[in-house]
Amino acid sequence: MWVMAGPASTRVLADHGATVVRVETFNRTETARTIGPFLNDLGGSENSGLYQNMNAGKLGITLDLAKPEARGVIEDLVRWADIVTDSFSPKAMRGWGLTYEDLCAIKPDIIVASTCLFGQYGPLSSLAGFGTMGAAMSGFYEMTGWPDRPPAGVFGAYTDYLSPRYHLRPAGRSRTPRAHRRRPVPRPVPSGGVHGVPAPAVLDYGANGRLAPAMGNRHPTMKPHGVFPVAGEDRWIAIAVEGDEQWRALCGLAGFDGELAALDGAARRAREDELEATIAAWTNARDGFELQQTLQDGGVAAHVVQTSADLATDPQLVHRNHFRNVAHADHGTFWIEGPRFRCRARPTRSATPARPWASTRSTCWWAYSATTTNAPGRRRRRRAGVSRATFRRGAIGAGSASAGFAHQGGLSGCGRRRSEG
Amino acid sequence: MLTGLRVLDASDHRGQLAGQILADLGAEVILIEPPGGSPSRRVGPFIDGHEQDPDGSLWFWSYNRGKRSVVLDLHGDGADPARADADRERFRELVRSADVLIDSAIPGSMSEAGRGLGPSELAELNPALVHTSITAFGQDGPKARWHATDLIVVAAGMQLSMMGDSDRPPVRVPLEQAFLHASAEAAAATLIALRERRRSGLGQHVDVSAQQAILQATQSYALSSLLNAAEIRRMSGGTKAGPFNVRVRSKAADGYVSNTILFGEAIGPFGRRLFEWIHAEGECTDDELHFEWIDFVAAVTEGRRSPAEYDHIQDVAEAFTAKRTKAELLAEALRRRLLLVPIANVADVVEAEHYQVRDYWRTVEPPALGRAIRVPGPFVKCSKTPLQIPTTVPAMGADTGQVLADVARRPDVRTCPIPQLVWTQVAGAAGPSAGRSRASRSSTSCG
Repeated sequence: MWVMAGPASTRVLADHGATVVRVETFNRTETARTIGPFLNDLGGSENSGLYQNMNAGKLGITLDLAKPEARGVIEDLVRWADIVTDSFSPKAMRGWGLTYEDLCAIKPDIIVASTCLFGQYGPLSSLAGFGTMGAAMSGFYEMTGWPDRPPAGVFGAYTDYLSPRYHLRPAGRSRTPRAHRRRPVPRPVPSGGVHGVPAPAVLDYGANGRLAPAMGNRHPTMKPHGVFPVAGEDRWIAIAVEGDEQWRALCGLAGFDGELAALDGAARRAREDELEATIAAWTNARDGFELQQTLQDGGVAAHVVQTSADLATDPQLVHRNHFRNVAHADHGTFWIEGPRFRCRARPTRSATPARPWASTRSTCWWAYSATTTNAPGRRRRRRAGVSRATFRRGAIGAGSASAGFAHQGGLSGCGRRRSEG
Repeated sequence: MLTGLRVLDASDHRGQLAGQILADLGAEVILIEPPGGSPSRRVGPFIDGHEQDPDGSLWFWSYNRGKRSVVLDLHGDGADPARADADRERFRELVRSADVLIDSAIPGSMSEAGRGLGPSELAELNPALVHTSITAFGQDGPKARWHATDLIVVAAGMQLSMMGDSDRPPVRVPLEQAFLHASAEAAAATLIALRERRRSGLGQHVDVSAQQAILQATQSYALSSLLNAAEIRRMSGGTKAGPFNVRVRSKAADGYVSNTILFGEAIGPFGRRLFEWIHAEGECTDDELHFEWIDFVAAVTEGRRSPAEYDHIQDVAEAFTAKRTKAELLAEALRRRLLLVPIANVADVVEAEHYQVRDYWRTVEPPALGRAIRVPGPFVKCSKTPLQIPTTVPAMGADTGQVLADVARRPDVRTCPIPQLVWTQVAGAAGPSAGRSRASRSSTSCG
């Protein structure tokens, strides 16, 4: 898999104990390695925050599929794995002879989870693409922005941030317990990337013929509802007034007169421009963080529009241990994000870094001996260019990587990626 | 895939997508609504003329397909404390019979005021319960009980700072997104906890933070500051990444297209193919065609190239797309394998041939409307076990009597000895007869 949509889903599996092996190639740079943020703003294959964040906790292996020996390694990996995942256009997997049918021929009960921009078939399925295109084609881009301007657009590859949650779901659930794995059990092949179509907008169109309009930050019922300037360059606070009670609280905190405080929702809707200007004049020179505390204490929903610098010191994210500084072979340590949810009784394992590209020629070999009776013989290791020494080195990695419940036959999986062919 | 799994969905408009995903996968999902109906029945958009109708909310219709509805007064804020006590007891009965509970209550609120429905209290009732909570900031921490709407969470989660015109305030996606991210995350988290339960026999409390979930929408730029990298800055129709103004939106003759022009071994060739087309039409120079598609970023870093050259290349491309219609551009993008697609509105999405061919849409028929309308269909196509997408949406409290009567009749399956329970689940999940063996569990393992 490449870039984000696929790797993000197997990152979650890795966080929760699966042994995930990421397959890369040395023939071509994985695109995520070329996307920022880069450590110290310097490009480099081991410097991408996106790559490190998406692939933390996984093992890595590089294969050259042009070489026939690689096929044997792939087949061993498939036999070892419970799940094979890919995030390419259907053509790529066909080209490698790794369709669902091909993989079933190797292992009848394999689960193959494919995610790509437009699914495995249909008129658009041959579009090789990125989530930026998914964002455009799903309606999110068009509706984000100001009514008097061209669409500002949702940030980045938006559907790539949604689809991982759908992608890992069937994969995570439908696996048969280990005791039953020899039985050939029918397997699902999930596919498709763009489910992120905004459902209420689809129904609004169907029922009322209405198209979700660009409306800046305004809200159909909460009035006012917007983003207002605070002290500092390009600093902002978001304020959402949920009802009359919150409006009166805001007026009290801001010292607005009683006439404004008495406005009901309909009146606030009619005077929205004016009220927004009044609030902006109040917030404009104030410190955003003090203001958000004042508003929250007064019962009004508000938050500073945070930048990454704010996130790093956000007391909530610090409390939740969201950012993790993990050991990294090249850099000493590297910052990644932790899991987005917590299993409170039996927590996820501590995060480990992504494997450096250069060390991935052989590091997944331990997995064979650790988890399968069908370990590849020495002959095959030699054919694939893997020495005894690297096998041992790989085995050392097994200790930390199989912590959690993976070694008990937990969420084992085989994440697979290669640069697009 | 989840046949036999019983889910109680006590969440409001912020969490109901999670239960619907589980329902799409085959679980039995019971929506617990307060007297007066779920708050999501008052969230727009509405069927025109049915703004006050509890069955008129299209938000509710979007995220409650396939659920049954039971009205119970859990909060006890109303005028009838005796009813609240009785309802809470009924809820406890339901919890004993359930595999999963989803809620989106303010942390701590369900154990306050003598309600006795906090996570630890429910875990005592049913140790095998997977209890998933969806909240703005998570169950603990200084902001755990802060007032939060979608706008607040996308502000706290940085996504807001990355969108909008640079000369105006940052702007959000107008349809509430943060809690949908959290809900989708919650469904996955629930399945992971259920898997873990097979081993330990125990459920647990799963704590989903919408702030942390929406951080995924920063594409890891949330790490910029910690990595000593420059902040991403918002730009209409694109993004300012360091010295580069990366445009995505590009004019077409009849609207806008999304056109990605970037560099590197994987993406660079797409740009070159676009310029081969532009060159063939005589609308760019040889130099522009032979742009440094692979190593441009490095060339800028080394001072051999200027970011202004990137702006120029994007100008050339936009002048080209501006003369052609979205349909022409898409047809050629398919032929030439370009990263170029129309910026679609919702009508374009609903009417697109692609989704018809994929048989994506399903329909629901709200009584207030009196006709069928399309809703998103299966989020995944499974070759052997296709999703059966339910298309009914419950009226408020429609199933209260039936569900409560069933619970009263049914043996209390979750008080089985734990190892036995686990084994039954393992056996039940294996093979095509999964549904039947799980359904018969109460008699085989508890009878």
